Amino acid sequence: MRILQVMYYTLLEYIRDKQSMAMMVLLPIGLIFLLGNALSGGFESSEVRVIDVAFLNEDKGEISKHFETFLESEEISKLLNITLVATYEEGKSLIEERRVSALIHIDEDYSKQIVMGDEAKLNLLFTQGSVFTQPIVTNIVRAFNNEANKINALMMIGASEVAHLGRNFIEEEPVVEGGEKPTAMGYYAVTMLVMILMYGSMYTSDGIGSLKEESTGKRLKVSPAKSYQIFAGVTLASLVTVFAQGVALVFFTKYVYGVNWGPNIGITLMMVFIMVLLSSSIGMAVGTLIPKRRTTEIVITTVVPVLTAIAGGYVPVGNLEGILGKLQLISPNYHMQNALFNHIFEGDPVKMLNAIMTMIGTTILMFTITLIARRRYINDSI
Amino acid sequence: MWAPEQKKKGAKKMILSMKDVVKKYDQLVAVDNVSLEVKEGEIFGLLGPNGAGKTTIINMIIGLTKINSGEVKIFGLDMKKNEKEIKKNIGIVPQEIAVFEDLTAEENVTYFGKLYGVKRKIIKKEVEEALNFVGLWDKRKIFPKKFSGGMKRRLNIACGIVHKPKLIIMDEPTVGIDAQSRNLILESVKELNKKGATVIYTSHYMEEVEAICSDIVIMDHGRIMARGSREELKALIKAEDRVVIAVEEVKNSITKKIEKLSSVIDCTEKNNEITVVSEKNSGKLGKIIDLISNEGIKIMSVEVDKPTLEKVFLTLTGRSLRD
Repeated sequence: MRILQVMYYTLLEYIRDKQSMAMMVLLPIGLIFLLGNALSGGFESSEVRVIDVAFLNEDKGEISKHFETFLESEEISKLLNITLVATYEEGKSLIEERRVSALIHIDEDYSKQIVMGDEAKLNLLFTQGSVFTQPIVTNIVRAFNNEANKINALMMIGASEVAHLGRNFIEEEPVVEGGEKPTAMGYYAVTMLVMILMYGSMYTSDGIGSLKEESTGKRLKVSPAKSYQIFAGVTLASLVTVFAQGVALVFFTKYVYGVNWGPNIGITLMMVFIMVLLSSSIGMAVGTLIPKRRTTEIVITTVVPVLTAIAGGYVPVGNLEGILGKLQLISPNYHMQNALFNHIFEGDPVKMLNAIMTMIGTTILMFTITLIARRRYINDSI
Repeated sequence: MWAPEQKKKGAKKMILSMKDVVKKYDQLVAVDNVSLEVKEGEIFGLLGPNGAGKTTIINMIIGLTKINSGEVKIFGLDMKKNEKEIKKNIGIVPQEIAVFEDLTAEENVTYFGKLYGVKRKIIKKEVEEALNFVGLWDKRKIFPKKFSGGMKRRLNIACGIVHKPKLIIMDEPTVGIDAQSRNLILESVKELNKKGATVIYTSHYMEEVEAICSDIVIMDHGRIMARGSREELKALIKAEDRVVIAVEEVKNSITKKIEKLSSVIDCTEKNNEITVVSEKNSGKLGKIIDLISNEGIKIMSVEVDKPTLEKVFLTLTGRSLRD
């Protein structure tokens, strides 16, 4: 009960803190608008226009021929630049040399499987590259594949031919947001949301700092409420506040800026919640480990912009190499963005799950660090 | 719960007992072998300059600071084993104003009331009572950031008393406020005591402690210098009496005649004021006045110069409280 009391009154304080609210909600709304408009040209020309793709067809069946025709169609030519390869190894080496972004591979039994009524798949292999290329190629291939399976099913119940394969499917299932390609606004909506959620860690660290340094914190500590109850109440209030700010940002950008937040808004919000858990746990660990509240504030306000930049929050950077690449992998922003982009643009579900699992794992690690550090902190008082 | 009737009827229970308590911060001894007791119904004054160790003692009582050695018992119980029970019955009014700026006065008091276990069905009544007590009920919807220093101090008190604790600890509650607010606070301390609360009051303002405390400890450099009632402490330094008599006009070598009286140590005159220093409790005031009147000198006023706690402190420590 005391946890809820602490949470309720802390939440009231947070809600009434206009300065923090403005920073957490209005600032990203403004930044998304500015960056989204100022850098939209760069997005359209370099990131989305034509993707180099290797293509290997080992099937030789009717359906895969339709796919070849489909790849040569005018609509797809605008998106994909196809290089035919003779073997899987050749395609793989092109990827390793980064001469293509993806390899589309059709197995020898593809058409046969479809005709037999079995579920057939097209194989895809990607470079570790831009967040945009992968979802585009995946969507094209998936849409064709689904259509092939669907038409075959129709044939089995009396439909006549499969010649319509590939026609108009883009209209039925848009490749990416905004019809065909991701917008700069959509990109920055994700990266700025992630950045703001990371800044949200300051709520938790500051809440813990105030318990240590503020007169009100001392007053709470000498009350009959247990130390863990106060700690939990303050942390929960931070969590609810940051989540509400994240949700507000998602809905504002969705309905005012027209940003696409993916096929299932519920899943998007669930991801936001996981990210809030992660950022709050980081705030808890930092707030507990660093003795001075002011130092905590400096650390977070310095590190978050760096993590945002490394993850491509301000300018898309793709996958970095060397030490920056390693830094990128430990940047929570990188994993948060990966999870969201893969969900929104219907990219690789495995990558999305990996990013989510990384976030959950890091959250558990941060909680553990906090618990260990807190024992030290509690022992300092009675 | 406050219970004034019990205070009058029952024998005085021990509320706080400290035995040989030591607190060190590295090489600095903040509290040096302090032993003291506070009985039920007292307004107990802890007097000393800044850095004397008053706040450290308070922090040890409320469990905010660990002791290095010694024993602290509150309501006869050990804090480590009975933390919740003890804390529920203590009200803290800290030296720093400890209220939430983004919560209204009413929300602040309600928050602390709930944390101290005030039941939901009576919380509104208790909050109203506490805010009325400090004269802030009309301002209950206002945020403390819009309050004056004195009002914040009063809200600070309301937060500490809303649960009607048996023991109220007030750590320099009048720092930095105007005389009117100070008087209000001092009156409220007396009122709380009348309602049955035992009060521990720390201050470096001598006149405050002198005005409200029944039992006083004078501290300096972490040690207890003296302890007793106001009178007992003053008696420590009261070796002589001093009387200042204002007259219309000094004549007939009156000072020399007064000096000849037995027990009179010294008699001087300046600006028609005769100052007579005599042995302690010599009872010569009547004779002096008779002597002056018999000489045809008109007496305008007589003032007995009493010893103060300030002088006690000065005598005991060799320095002023505000040094």
